[in-house]
Amino acid sequence: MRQDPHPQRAIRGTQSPDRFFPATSWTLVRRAAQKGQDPNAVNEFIERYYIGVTAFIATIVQDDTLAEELTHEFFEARIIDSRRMLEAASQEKGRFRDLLKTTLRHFVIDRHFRRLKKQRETEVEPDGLPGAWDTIEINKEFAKAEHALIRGWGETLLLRALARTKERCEERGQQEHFEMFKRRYIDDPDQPPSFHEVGLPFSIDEKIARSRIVTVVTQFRAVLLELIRNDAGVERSPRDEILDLLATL
Amino acid sequence: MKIDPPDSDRMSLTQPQMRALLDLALDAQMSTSDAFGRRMEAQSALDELGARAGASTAGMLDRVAEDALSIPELQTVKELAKCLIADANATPREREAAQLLYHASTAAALCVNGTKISGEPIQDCREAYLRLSAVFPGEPLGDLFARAAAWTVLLNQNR
Repeated sequence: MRQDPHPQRAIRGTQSPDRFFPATSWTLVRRAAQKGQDPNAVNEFIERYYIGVTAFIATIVQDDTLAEELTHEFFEARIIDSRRMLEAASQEKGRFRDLLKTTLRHFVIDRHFRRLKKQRETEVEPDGLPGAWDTIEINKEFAKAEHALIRGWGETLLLRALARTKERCEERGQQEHFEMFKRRYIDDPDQPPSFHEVGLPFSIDEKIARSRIVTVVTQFRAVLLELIRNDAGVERSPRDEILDLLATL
Repeated sequence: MKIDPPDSDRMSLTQPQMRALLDLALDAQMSTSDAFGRRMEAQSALDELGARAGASTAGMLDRVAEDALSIPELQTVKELAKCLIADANATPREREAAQLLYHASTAAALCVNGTKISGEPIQDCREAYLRLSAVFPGEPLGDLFARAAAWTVLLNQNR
């Protein structure tokens, strides 16, 4: 796997109550939006969306350093300092990810495009109508950025599911099971080794290798589906969410 | 509150890795989408059907595919497969597995110097073998069907 930087513990001195099975998005948002914010909820929120938010911003600004900077600004300004987005969130209004997309869109327009226009010494002249910024000539970039956000969200879910599955395997003394699963599905997905090849270093035949890998796959699937259900809510089936994620790849 | 600097130890996933893992979650990879899985699935269906019929079918697909049986033994396997196909209580999955065993036994016989043990037209056999060789690529079973398909061409030419 490639190594990529992003904050593991977003806010100093806090610990998520459960790294792997956090509250649903809406519970989390409610906790983070409360007066005297629950730092664990805020931390969890940032962890959950960090990759996606960075990917969204990077698609627009085309500069990794600036994207990182703006990501931090976004979380500080909209989540930690003002909580405006969190307070505006309501399950009845639709999916949380849609609200996040809209908020990000306004944030990027506000910070990045204003900055660019200033650099060009031209005046910013929005027409003052509600939603005016949405109609400027950047819709194509935003469509790509929204894809990147969903992909980033999916990546976070998969990483969490993998971490939880690995931990469960370790709890059960099945480290080798997980290692075989990793070799088969993660190390080289373009040319995955056969079950026979996976079993060789462990001196086991293909049937046993397959059976052990199936054990891990079953656990991984259960963890991932639960994470998706938690995050996406009950309005959509996890299968539909997975199909949406696959469409972004 | 401050946001910590990035932690460089954290892993990330490439697109092919994500696709492989999401496919797994959709159950698209494990059960029957690879040749090994399909063979295991067929053998398992065959074992269930055989157990109900009071016949031992354990490891039979493997043995047939490995050229381990004589012509009389293959004929016995073929007759057993016919009985299993005709089992009124067989599910579609089990019947399909029994048909696979039937074709495997006739294909294995054909690979023994072109011995034909079924009355089916050679062209029909060829079509079935070609289809099944594509279903089990990289497996001894797929190889058996590919070799048998080659024998059908030879037999056609010599007719």
